[in-house]
Amino acid sequence: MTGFGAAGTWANLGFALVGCLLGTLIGVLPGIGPIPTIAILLPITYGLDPLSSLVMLAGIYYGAAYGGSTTSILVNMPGEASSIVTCIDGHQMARQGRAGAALAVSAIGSFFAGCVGTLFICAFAPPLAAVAQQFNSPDYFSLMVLGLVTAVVLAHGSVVKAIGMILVGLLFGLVGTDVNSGATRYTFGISVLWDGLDFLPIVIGMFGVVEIIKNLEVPEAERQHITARFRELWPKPSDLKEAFMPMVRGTFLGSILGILPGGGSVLASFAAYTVEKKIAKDPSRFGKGAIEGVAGPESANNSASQTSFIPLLTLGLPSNAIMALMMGAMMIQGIQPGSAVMTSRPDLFWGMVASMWIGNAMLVIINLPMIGIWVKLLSMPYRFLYPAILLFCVIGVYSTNNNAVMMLFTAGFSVFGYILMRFDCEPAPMILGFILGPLMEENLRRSLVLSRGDPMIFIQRPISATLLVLTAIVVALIVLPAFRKTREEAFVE
Amino acid sequence: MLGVKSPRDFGSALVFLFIGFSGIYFGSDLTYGTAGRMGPGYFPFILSVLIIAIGVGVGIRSLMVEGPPVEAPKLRPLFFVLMSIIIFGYGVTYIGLALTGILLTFLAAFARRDVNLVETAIFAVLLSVGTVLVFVYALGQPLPAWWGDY
Repeated sequence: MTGFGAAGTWANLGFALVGCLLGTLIGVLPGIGPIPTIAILLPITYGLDPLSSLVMLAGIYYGAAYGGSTTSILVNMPGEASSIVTCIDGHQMARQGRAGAALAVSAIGSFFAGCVGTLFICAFAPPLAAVAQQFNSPDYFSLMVLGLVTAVVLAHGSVVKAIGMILVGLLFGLVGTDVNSGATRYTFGISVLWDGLDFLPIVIGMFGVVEIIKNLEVPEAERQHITARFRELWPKPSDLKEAFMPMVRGTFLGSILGILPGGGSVLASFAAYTVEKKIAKDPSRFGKGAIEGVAGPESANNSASQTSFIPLLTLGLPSNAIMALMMGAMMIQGIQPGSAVMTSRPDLFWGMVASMWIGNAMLVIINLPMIGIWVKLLSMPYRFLYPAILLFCVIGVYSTNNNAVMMLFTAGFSVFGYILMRFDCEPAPMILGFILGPLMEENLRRSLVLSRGDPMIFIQRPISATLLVLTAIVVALIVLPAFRKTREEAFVE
Repeated sequence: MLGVKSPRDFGSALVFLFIGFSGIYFGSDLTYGTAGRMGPGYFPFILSVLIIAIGVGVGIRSLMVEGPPVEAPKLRPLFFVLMSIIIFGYGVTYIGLALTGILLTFLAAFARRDVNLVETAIFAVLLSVGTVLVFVYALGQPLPAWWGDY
């Protein structure tokens, strides 16, 4: 547990604190979910040394997740897919004046889940990393294929289009100079592109800006405002008692589901909600402000967020778009996530794990007292919020290189994102593909070099073969009508 | 008669086809190599072909399965937000963050229909100064604050 020592310095605690505050502040803003929040705040971490930047990133991550829950509960606008479930009962609780209780339960449940999740990581990461040592290029390639396909299963909407978006992301990831041959690909003679496309303009353009534009298209009168009636800011003891078992159930559900590549936290929160509803003595309370409907999914959501780091840190596989961002951030810091990190830089790995727990703790400590402030913030009319959001977005992109050309890219991707939104195409899978693009190509190339051009190598190696079989099963599941119906039902709710 | 039943899927198909064909066209000067020795054009080509396949698939589906219509884009928010973003970049370089922040707030405000100039002006100044204090001074971002660096 030297990680706690490394991460627990006063300086790092300070960074975690700042990260949490900023993450919550921006995450709370309507329309800015965790992905744009992390993207906006990422450049702030560039100047720090790797461990401190990871600590701060962890704070930002949890702050953003909590901010997203806050928005879901108060304004009924989920910041990301996994918050949708929180909206259902959480917002109802807010309308009954019990917003404080909902928010508090959400934070406490998340903290509890975070603790368990951290323990989970401690237990499972080393064995998993040991397995990963056995991996070679074909195995990594198949793993990425599996990860991408599984991510699609849990995307909303059309699976085929989501696969298409992943492929587009992969292709965009290849823009730039090819390391192996020195040839420039798709650069159109623009020198800025020689290093490839920066992911920040893509993420901010397609997620943040598009969200703003989308909200602006709705006339002001129709936008929902919060009824900030607060009968009580704190949950009653009876609330906590009711919430306890759902928290525990949610945590275990989330911890296990979070490891699965592809939208673990979405699946976790939906599953937790369904479980709670099925076990409840009075299921009709759900949808009208049942506290279990907040405690369960939020705990599941948060523990899944923790454990979704496991594939990233041990295998180098980002299981969803947020992890892809984290991976991008780490790579900028010079860390290549994967089994190598655990052995070559254990201080970094365990420091990161420790910082995740610290981030969780920070969250509860800061945000519970500050609930009132966040509510005041959200009740500001949107016409004040969105210029601020826009300003933060552009600052975030600009400050990476202090280069005005980046803004052109951002604008371009905003247009692209807008078009996609109009056509019901999900941008999140594209981010996943984008981050993995160069890696997949590299592994494919190495595999084929090893096999001298024989594609059978992917089936000959046992690990790779297993992964591909799993992929086939997942694909079959997507196609099978029975599974599809369950999926659609889950999303209809 | 072929009618487009799902305009959104049809639009998506067009996007995929456009990207796929562009991928092949703009990558045509790259060497493909062989499977055993992949050239820089190999993977992009495979991806582009797959994207085109998806485009065809989605396109066919759009002709057969009903889907909701595409909502007409409202140009005003789109235009002003894009303008703000593009001008921001040049603004910060030449006249610094504070002034550009004010400029951006104004431009963004015009994305709405009901703009109160006085209210926007006050807000713009407050927001810009606040942002400068937070980002440049508190967080130490290397941004030109009160005038440009150029």
